[in-house]
Amino acid sequence: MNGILRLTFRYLAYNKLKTITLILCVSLALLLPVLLQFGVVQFEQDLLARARSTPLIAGAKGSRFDLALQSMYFSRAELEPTTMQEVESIQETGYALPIPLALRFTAQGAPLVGTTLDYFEFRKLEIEKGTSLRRLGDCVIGASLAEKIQLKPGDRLMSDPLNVFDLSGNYPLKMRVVGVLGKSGSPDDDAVFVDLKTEWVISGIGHGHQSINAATDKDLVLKQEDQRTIANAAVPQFNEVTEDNLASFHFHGQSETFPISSIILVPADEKSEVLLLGMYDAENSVLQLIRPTEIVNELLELVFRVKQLFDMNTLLVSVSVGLLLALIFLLSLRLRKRERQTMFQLGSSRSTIWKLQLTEIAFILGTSLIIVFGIAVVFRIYAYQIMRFLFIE
Amino acid sequence: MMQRIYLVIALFSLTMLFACQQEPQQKSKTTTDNTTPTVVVVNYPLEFIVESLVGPDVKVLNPVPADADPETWFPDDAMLLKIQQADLIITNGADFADWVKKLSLPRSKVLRTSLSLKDALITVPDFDVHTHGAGGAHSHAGTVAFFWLDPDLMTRQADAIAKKLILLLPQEKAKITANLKKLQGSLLLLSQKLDQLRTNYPGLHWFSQRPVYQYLARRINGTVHHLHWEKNTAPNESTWSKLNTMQEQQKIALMFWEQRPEEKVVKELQQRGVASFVLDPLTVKPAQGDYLTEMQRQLNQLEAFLKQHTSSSKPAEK
Repeated sequence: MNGILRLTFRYLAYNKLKTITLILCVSLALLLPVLLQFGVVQFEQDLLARARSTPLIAGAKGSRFDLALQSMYFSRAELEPTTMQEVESIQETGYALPIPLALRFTAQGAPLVGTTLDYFEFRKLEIEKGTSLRRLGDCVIGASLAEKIQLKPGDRLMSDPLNVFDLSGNYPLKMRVVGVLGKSGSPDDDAVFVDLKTEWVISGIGHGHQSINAATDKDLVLKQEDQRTIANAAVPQFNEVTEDNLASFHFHGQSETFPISSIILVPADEKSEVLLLGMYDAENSVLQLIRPTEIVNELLELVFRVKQLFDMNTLLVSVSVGLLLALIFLLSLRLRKRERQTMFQLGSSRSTIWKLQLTEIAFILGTSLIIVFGIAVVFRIYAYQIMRFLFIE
Repeated sequence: MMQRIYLVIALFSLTMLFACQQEPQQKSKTTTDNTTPTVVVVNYPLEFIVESLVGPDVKVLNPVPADADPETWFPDDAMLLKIQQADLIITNGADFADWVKKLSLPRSKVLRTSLSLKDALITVPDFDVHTHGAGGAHSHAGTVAFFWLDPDLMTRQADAIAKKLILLLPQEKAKITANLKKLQGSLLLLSQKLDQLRTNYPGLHWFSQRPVYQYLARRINGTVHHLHWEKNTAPNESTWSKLNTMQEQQKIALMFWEQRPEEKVVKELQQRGVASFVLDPLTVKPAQGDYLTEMQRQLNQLEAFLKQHTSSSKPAEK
C-alpha cells in the first residue's frame, strides 16, 4: 500500500498544475453551498439573538425594517424622530422601562448612540477600561472601535458634522473618552455611546458659551439691561465640555419636546407587553410598536427564499462540475493508457493499477474536502465579523 | 516528499488551532449585595419626606454640602459614582438642581416628583431672559420648582415618593403607609395656617427676586411679581429706576427674600415703601428644627409681619 501511495504522490507532484487545478475545481464546487449554509445560519443566529434580547421597539410610524435595524444594529437610516414626551408617557404607564435612543450622528464614521445608563445594564455591557458616562460631553466606546481607532480613556473624539458644507448646521463636539466597553460580540462593539443630553448638545439643542463681562468684552455685548448683559452673535460657543465650562451649558426648550430616534421597551411582564402592543395598535397613534423577532423572521423568510434559488443554482453547478470532473478523469485515463500498459508489463496486477488510479481520485477529493473544511471552520469562527463587514458596514 | 506533506498538514493544523479562538463571552454581571438601600435626593424638602417615610430603613443621601446651593452645586467624580449606584434618585423636576440636567444618571432609578404634579405646575412666561445672536433679548418660559412651599403639593410629592419606596421596600409597606398618613397630618397643619393667611390677608401682592414663591402665592390667593434680580448681586441704578417706575404704577409694599438682604438694600426698599421679609424656602436643612417646625415658625412670623403691614400690602387701585 505504501508503494501505491508513493507512486500516487509522485505522479500528483509531477503533474502539479493538473493536481492543483482539479483540487481547486472540486473545492470551489463544494465551498459555495457550504459557506452559503454557514452564512445563512450565522445571519439567522445574529439577527435572532439581538432581536430576542430586544423585547419591543417603539418609533415614529414609517419603515418597520429601518426602525428595527437601526435600533438594534445602528445601521444608517433616516428615521422620523419622536420626542421624549413619548418616553415619559410609556414610563408613566408602568408597563415597561423605556430606553431612549438617539441615532442621528456619527463619530469618525462609527455610529454615535445617545442613550441613558440603563442601556448598558439592559445589554449587560461592562466597562473594561475607565469609567461609565459621567457628564455632558463624555463618551464610552465599543471594544472593536477602540482597537480600530486606537483610543483609550482620557483621549478625545470629535463627532462628525451632519453636513460639512452647512456652516450654520450643528458644530462637532470634542468628546472626552471616559471608558471602553468589554467585547460583547454585538454591534455595541463598533459604536460610540454618549448620554442623551450630549447628543442634544451635538444637535445644537443645548450649548455653552463664555459668560460676558460688559466692562471687558465690549465687542461681544449687544446691550446692557439692568443686571443683565445681552451678548451678540460673536460670542463663541464651546466645542468641548470641560469642568470649567460645564455650568454654562444649557438647553433651549422643554426636555419633553427634545428629539430621539427610537425607544427600546423592556416590559415588566407578558401582560404589560400585550397591553403596550394594544395601546399603540391604533390608527391615531403617533408611534408604532414592533416586536423585533417578528421583523427579523420576516427578513429571514426573504433570505431563505433567496437561499432556495442559490441552492438550486448550486445543485446545477455541482452536477455540471461533477460531469466535468468525470470527463477529465476519463480523458486522463485514456491519455495514460500507455503508462498502464508499461506498468502491466513490469508486473503490476490490474487491481494495483486501478488502485493507483482510485488513490489519485481519492487524494484529490480528500484534499479538496480538507480545504473546504478548513475554510468553513475559519468562516464559522469569523462569521460574525465577515457578515458584519459584508452586510452591515 | 512525505515529509513535505506532513509539514503541510502540521502547518494547517496549527493555523486551525490559532483560528479556533474562544467566542467572546459576556461577563456575568456581579451584583452588589447591599442590604440597606440608598436613596439620593436633590434638596432638603425631599430629604425630609424620605426620612419621614422610612426612617433608618434606607440610607438617605443628600449629596449637597450644607453651605452649597442645591440649585447650582455639582458633585465630584466620587460622589457622582455614589449617586449613579444608588437604588433610587429622587429629583424635584422643573429643572431644579443643575447637576441632574448635566450629569449621566440611570433613568430607570430616577423619580421625578414633578410628574405627579403635572396639573398643578406653574409656568412663568418670563422665567429666564436670555439672548443669542442679534435678535435681542427674549424670554423663556419656565416651571417654578419650589413646590413644597404649598403643603398640598408637598403631600402629593410625598405620595409619589411613598409609592416608589414601597416598590423598593415591599416589606415596609405598612410602615411607609402609616408614616405617610402621619406626614400628611403634619402638612395639614401648615395648610391650615396658609388657609388662615388667605382668609385674613386676601389678595396679597409682593415682590421677589426671582420665581420662587408662586405656589405659596397661589395657595394664599396672592400675587408675586418677580424682579429678575440676580441672586447675590446688589441692584444697580438702572434696577432701582425700574423699580421706581413699577412702584409708581403698582405700589406694592412687600418683598420676600430667600436670604437676609444687605441692610443698604433693605433701606433703599423702605424708601420706596417696600418692606422686606425673609422667607427661607428651605432648600437646605435649617440650622435648627426640621421642615415642619421651621416652616411653621416662618409662617407665624409672616402673620405677625403682615399684621404690621396689612394696610400697605395691596397694590393701589387705579
